[in-house]
Amino acid sequence: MGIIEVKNLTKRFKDHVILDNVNLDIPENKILGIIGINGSGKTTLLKTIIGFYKVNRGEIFYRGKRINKVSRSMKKEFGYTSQDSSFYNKLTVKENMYYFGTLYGLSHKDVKNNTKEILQFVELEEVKNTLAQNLSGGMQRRLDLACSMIHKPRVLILDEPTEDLDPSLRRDIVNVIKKINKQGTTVIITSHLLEDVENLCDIIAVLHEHKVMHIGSVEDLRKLYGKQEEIHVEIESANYDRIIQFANLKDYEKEENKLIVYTAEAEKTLHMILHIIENDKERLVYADIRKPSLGEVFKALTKKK
Amino acid sequence: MKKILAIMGKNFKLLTRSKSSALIIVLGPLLLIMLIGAAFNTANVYGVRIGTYSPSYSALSNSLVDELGKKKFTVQKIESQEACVEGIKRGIIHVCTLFPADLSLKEGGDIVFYVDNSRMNLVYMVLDALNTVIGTKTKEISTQLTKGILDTIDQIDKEVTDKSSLVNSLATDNEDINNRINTIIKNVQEIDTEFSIALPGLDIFEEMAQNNDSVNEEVRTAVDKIKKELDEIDLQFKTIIGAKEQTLLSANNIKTTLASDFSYINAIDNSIGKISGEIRKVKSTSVGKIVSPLSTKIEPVISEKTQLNYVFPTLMILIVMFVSMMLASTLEITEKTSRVYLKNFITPTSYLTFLISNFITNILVVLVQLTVIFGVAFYFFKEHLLATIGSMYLVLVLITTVFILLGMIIGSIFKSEETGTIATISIGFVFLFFSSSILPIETLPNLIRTIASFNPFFMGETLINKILLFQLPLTLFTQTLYILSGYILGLMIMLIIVKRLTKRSF
Repeated sequence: MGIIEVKNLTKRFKDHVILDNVNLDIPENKILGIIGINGSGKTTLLKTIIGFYKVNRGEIFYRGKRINKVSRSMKKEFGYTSQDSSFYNKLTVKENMYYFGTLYGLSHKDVKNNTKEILQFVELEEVKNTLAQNLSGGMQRRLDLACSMIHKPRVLILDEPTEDLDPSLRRDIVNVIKKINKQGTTVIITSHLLEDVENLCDIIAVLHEHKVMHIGSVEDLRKLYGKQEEIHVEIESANYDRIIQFANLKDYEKEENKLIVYTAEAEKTLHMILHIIENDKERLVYADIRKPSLGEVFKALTKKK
Repeated sequence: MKKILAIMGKNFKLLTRSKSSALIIVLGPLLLIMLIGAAFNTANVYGVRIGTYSPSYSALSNSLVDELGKKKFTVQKIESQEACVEGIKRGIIHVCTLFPADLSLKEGGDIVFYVDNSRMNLVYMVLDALNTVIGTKTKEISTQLTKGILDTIDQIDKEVTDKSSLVNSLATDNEDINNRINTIIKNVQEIDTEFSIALPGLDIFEEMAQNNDSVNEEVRTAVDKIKKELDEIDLQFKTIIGAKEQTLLSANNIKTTLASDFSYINAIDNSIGKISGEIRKVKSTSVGKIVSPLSTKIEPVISEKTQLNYVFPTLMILIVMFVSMMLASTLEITEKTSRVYLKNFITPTSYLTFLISNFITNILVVLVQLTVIFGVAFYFFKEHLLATIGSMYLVLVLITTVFILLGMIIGSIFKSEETGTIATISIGFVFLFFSSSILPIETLPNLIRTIASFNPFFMGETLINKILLFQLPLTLFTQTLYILSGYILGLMIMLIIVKRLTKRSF
C-alpha cells in the first residue's frame, strides 16, 4: 500500500467530467509523474488530492487514512507548488519563507532553522534579503519550491515545475527535486515535458480521457508499448522497399527520409539491414538503435486507445 | 495570534512596498481633504449665472439686476424671453428672471423665474438668494410707501388735536347758553301775570252813577273810561300771559335743542378722542413693524461660517464608506484571485484567521487615513475636534467596521475585481442616495424614510454631525450605537456564512 491511494475518484465541474473513476497508488519516497495532454485533468487530480476541490465520488487515503476532507494536521504533511509562481513578489525571499512557515504553525526557531537549511538546499541563501520580484526565473521557481518545503512535508506536489524554464534552469530544478526526494520526500509532479518526467520519475501515470490509463515505471510503459527498441536508418535514395522486403520487416514506419523499425532483436535486424544496403550499394546516411522515448510511448499509448 | 500577526505583517508590507498603494493610503485622503477644504471653505456662490429679460427695463428692474450682481452671481441681460429660457436648457445660465415691462412701484407686476428643476439643490440656492434680493427691494419700496401714509396720518392727528379745543369750547358755550335759558325760564315763570278786572267798588259806583241822576256825565264817562282802561289792561295781561307762555315754550325748545347739541358735541369730542388715540397708536408703531409685522431671522445653532463645517461630517463618512468597502473588497478579491491563494489555502490555517487578519489590516489602514484626515481637519476645526476626538474615533471605528465587513462580504461573493468594484460602488451609491446628503430623507415617503433612517451612512453622518458640530455627548445616541453594533454582529455572521459557502470554488 502506497503513501497515497486514490480509489475510484470522480470529479465533475457541473456536468463536465474531469476525472472519471481514477485509481492511483503512490508509493512512499518515490517520484510519481503524471502525464497527459492538456485538459486531461492532471492539475485537477493534484488539487483534489490536497483538498482544494471536493471529491464527487471515490476516496483518497493517506497512509491508509481516508482524507476526502483534508484536516489541518494532514495539511502539514503536504507541500504544494502550482504551475505559476505562488509567493509574494513584494516580500523578500526570507519574508516569504517566514510567512509560510508561520502559517504552517512552526515555531520561530523552526522557521529560522528551516529557512536557513532550505535556502541553502535550493541555493538561495545569498539572495535571502532580495525581493522575490527581483529574482531570476529559475530562482523564483526554486523559491516557490522552498516555500512549499518550509514545513518539511512528507509529500511534495509539484504542478508543472519545469514549465517555461530554459533547458539549463529545467536541469537545475530536476536536480533539486531529485535531492528533495533523496531526503525521503514523496514527490508527485505533473509535466508536459516528458523528457524531464522520464529523467526524474520512478513511476509514471498516464492520464488520458479522464482516466489513469497506465501506471508504472518507464520500462513498464515501454513494455506496454510493445516496441522495446527502435532502429533508425536513413539512406540517400530514401527508397526502403527492398530493405523492407528482404529483411522481412513487419513493424516499421517511414518518417520523412527515415525508416524506423520496431523490433525485439535490434542488433540482428540492423545487421541484416546493413547487409542489404551494402549489397544494393546504397549510400548510408545514418543508422542507430535506440529505446523509444517516453513521448513516443505516450503518443503510442494514447493513440492506441 | 502568531498567524494573524504574520498575515497582517504581510498585508502591510505589500501595501507599503507598492508605491501606488502607499500613495493611496497616505496621500489619497490628505489630497482629498485638502481639495475639499479648499473648495468648500467658503460661504459664497461663485459661478452661478442668472439671465434676466425685460421688454423694457425700468429704474426699478435695473436696480434689482444690480442687486443680484452684488450677491456675486454672474448676471447677464438676455435679448429675448425665448433665448433666456433656452439658455437654461443649454446650461448657459442657471436661472432666467423675467421682469415685466417698465416695472414700477405704481403699476407693480409679477417677476417670473424659470428654473431647471433637475438641478434641485442649485435651484433652491439660487431662488433663496433671488428671493432675498427681491424681498429686500420690496421691503425698501413698502417702507417708502408706509412712511408716506404715516406722515399723512401725522398731519391728520395734528389737525384733529387742534380742532378738539373748538369742540370743547362749543360744549362750554352750549352749557352756558343752557344755564342762561334756565335763568330766563325761571325769570319768566316768576313774572306775576295774575290780574282781575272785577273791582267791587267800581260796580257799585257805576250802579250809583247810573241810577243817580245827580252824578254828572263826566263821572259816568270817567267810570266808563276806567272800565275801558281796565278792559284794555285785562287784554294786555292776557297778551302778556300768552307771550309768557310762548316764551317759556320757546325757551324749553331751545333747551331741548341745546341738550341735543350738547350730546352731539360730546359724541364729536369722543370721536375726535378716539381718532386721536388710534392715530397715536399707529404713530407709536415703527415703519419696519408695519412693513414686516412678523420678522423671521434664522440663527444658526453654531457660529460656523463656511460650508466645510457643514459638509465635513458627510465627507468623513463618505470617505470612510468608500475607502473601507473598496479596500476590504479589493483585498479579499486580490487574495482570492492571487496565485498564492492555493498555497495559503493548503496551509493549516483557518479561513477565520485570514478573515480576522484582513479585517484588522483594513481597519488599521482606514484609521491611519482618518488620522491623516483629522490632522488636516485640525486646521479647520481646532478645539472642536480636540474636544470630541474620542467620541469621533469610537463612532468612526463602528462605522468603519460596518463598511469593512460589508466590503469583505462583497469581496467574498464576487470573483473579479471589476465586478467587486462595481458592486461596491453601487451599494455605496444606494447608501449615499438614501441619506440626507443629496435630499433630506424627510422628503422621502414614510416607508422609505423609515428604512433610510437605518442606513449606516445616514446614521454615521448624523452622529458625526451632532458630535462635531453640536458637541453632544455620545450617551445621547446609545440607541444608534446599539443598532450599529447589531449591524456589526449580523454582518460578521453573514461574512462567515458567505466565506464557508465560497471558500472552495467548486
